[in-house]
Amino acid sequence: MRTTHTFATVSMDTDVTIQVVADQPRAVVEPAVQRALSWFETVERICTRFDRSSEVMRLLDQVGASVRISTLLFEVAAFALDLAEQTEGAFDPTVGARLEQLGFNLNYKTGEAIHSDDVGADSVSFRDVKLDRRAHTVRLRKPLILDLNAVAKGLAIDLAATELQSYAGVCVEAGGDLVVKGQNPTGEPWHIGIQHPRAEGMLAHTLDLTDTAVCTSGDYERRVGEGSGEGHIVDPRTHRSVTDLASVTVVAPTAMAADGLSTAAMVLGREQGLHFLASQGVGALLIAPDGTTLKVNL
Amino acid sequence: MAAHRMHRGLVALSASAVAAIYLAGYLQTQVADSNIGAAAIPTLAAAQSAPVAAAPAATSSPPLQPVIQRPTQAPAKAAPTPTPGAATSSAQSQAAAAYKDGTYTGQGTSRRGDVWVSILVQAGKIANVTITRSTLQYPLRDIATLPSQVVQRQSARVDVVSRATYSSMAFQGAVAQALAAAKAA
Repeated sequence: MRTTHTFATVSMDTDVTIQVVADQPRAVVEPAVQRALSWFETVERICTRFDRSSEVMRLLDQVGASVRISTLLFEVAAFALDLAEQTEGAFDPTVGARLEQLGFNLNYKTGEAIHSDDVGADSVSFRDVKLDRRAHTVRLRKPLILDLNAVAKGLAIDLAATELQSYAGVCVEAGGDLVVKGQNPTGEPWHIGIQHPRAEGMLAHTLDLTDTAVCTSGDYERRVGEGSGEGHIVDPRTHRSVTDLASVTVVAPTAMAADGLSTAAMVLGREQGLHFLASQGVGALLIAPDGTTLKVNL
Repeated sequence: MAAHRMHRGLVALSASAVAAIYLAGYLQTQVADSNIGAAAIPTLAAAQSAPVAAAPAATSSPPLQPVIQRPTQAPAKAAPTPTPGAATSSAQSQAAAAYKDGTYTGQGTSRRGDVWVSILVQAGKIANVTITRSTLQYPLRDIATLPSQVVQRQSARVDVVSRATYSSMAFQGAVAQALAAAKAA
């Protein structure tokens, strides 16, 4: 009998839930789910700015030098920098030190605060990070902290979902960002609710989709907490919290793109955000603080 | 994962990045040379397997159409997106009568506390949903509208919520648990 197996854990400072719709019993599905979940650990281990020994933080030890890096870090950084370039800095992964200064500096696993006193928070931008695809290297022109959170979680979701793609249905969800594949437990496309940014538990919209990613960025001020930086979006150009939009949901083929593009659009605001998302060919739902809702390709 | 040409290519870029990373085979090495893979096992908390809702012949709807065709691997843009209104209303008729009469309770868990609900099923329909207890760090008024939404939708119809909050996740979990009991009854 076709059964839905649900697995839940905590990774990357967020709740991760995996649903697998399969003909196989749980015991058969579980090893694959463990492989899927270990992608979260892998991505976090390499990309976290909350651990000075992560690959991304170790770059601080070699500022100015071209450093050969792993495929994972290289690809995440390349995507983040492309996104930065195409949004002219509205999205900028070099805000890490700034976020740290704002108090988003606690390692959720150890509770320890990280202080990178040797790193200047201002006067750095994505232009200070140079990637060389042929040599597979990165060079920081100044001491800076890369905050890859806005794309790394999406990436982990994509990798986990890829790991499970042979099953009849898969839903990988982490902190409200998700990928769905195949069919939901009742043999239909997945029914996806979009959380309303101003009314907890109310859905602003529902979508029936499959083989796609859905990610929502929002100000959700209530949920800002415990120093993780989750739910907090700062305009890298002005260092101010963004206010023009309450939330942006993006529907795209990968969670990495949906995650990054929704964050960028939050900063760009209504008009530019809408235009940017349309130009990228993704589906999107933008909700303003007054409840005004705008849609692209949905 | 094939490149799907977008205007300025961020989507295609992300797809090739995911493929490159996946193929780089981090997991094999990682699981082989450390305990990280194994360490993930005990963290599989709150795990439960629920029988598929529509599988039993109990539903009044026509026999399950054999598996819906996947809407051709087309990514987001091309994927059919029925209007939300339509989706919700058709959901109601289908989900109705799937439950046995009685009162069922369920508990949902989140990192910021738990929620307990009680669900009354009458004439096969969800007649009432009450939050009976909460240990959430947030005020209950945050999720005060959720019970009526469940009655309206006649199920935890939504499989997953984008940007669910801890409170609403706990609530959804509690409802799902209670309704699973209502089905099994």
